[in-house]
Amino acid sequence: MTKESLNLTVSSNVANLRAIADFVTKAAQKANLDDNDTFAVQMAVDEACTNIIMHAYADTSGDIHLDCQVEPGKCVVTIRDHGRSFDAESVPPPDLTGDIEERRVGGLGLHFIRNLMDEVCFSSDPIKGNQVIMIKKASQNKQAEANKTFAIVAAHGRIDAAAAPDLESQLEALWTQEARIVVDMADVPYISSSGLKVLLAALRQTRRQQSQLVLCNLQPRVAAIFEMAGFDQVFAIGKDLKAAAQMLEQP
Amino acid sequence: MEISHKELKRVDLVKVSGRVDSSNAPELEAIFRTINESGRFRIVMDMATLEYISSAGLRVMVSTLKNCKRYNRGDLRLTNMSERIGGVLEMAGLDVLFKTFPNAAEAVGSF
Repeated sequence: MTKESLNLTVSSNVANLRAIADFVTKAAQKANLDDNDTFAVQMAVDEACTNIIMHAYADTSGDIHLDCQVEPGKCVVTIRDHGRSFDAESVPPPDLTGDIEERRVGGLGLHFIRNLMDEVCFSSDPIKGNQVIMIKKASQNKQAEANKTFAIVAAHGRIDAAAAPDLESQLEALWTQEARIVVDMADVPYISSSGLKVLLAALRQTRRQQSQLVLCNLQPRVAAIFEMAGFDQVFAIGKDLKAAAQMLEQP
Repeated sequence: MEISHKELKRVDLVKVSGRVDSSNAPELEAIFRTINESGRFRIVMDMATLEYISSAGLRVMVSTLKNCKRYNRGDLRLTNMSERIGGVLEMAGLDVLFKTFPNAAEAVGSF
């Protein structure tokens, strides 16, 4: 499934909120959103449509047009009406603190919509009417984006023919769990062709499995060896750990 | 939405099932109002089978809470709240206003 478009038009009546909820729930499920994300979409749309019915069409009646663009992991809901224009910015934020006697329960709908959805955009046009676009992306996608961690391998000592196998097995073990590795060479005074071979093999691995490898803190002599071998053009090399981390952010 | 109302000795137990949105929140409000108008202000709202409550329903809960607590004459307490509904209350900043209990018996007994 690539992109699919679902539409619903209902009249501005609270009796239609149930049908709207069912429609949006179906759309969210088509986008493979999990139960929590589906609940969020359904609630945000319910609040938005309630506002349209109660405020945009307060003294009149009209139609509410809903359009859901779904693709795997993403649901974009566009709601249009031709009622009184609405300026989202002018609504005061709800009172979320304060004790019971002082508490006003106004403006909650808007607060919920902004909280539940990833992106919300209100617009008003004299011809096209009012429009709100809200986007929900699958939470696990966001989780993967948030887990932007990487593993740091601190190599120690000379990486020569004797030490190279150790580094090799360390990196191989890591690749099974990590997608991003930084090799910190601060404590490496020398690297021989055996060591370079291991690093090159690791780099080839990253190309095969879409992972990333960055080196950092190269001592001057080691940096010279890399240059001589032409490896400074082949590897991502950061001045220090911070630079290496930044290089990981820009694939 | 289905509402079942049981009048116990000192407390009214109101169980709300299904969805509460703008279309039926007035019904819920009417039940609470009837209870208050008969001079009873100790209410337990059982949310065990409550699937969804919108801001409209939350407004009813808050206004009922205000009315029950006035002059210290009672309270609106909650029970069997699901994690999801709890999340909704939290998002609205209302979780701090209501006493919640893990089951109806404890909620009723708390008064």
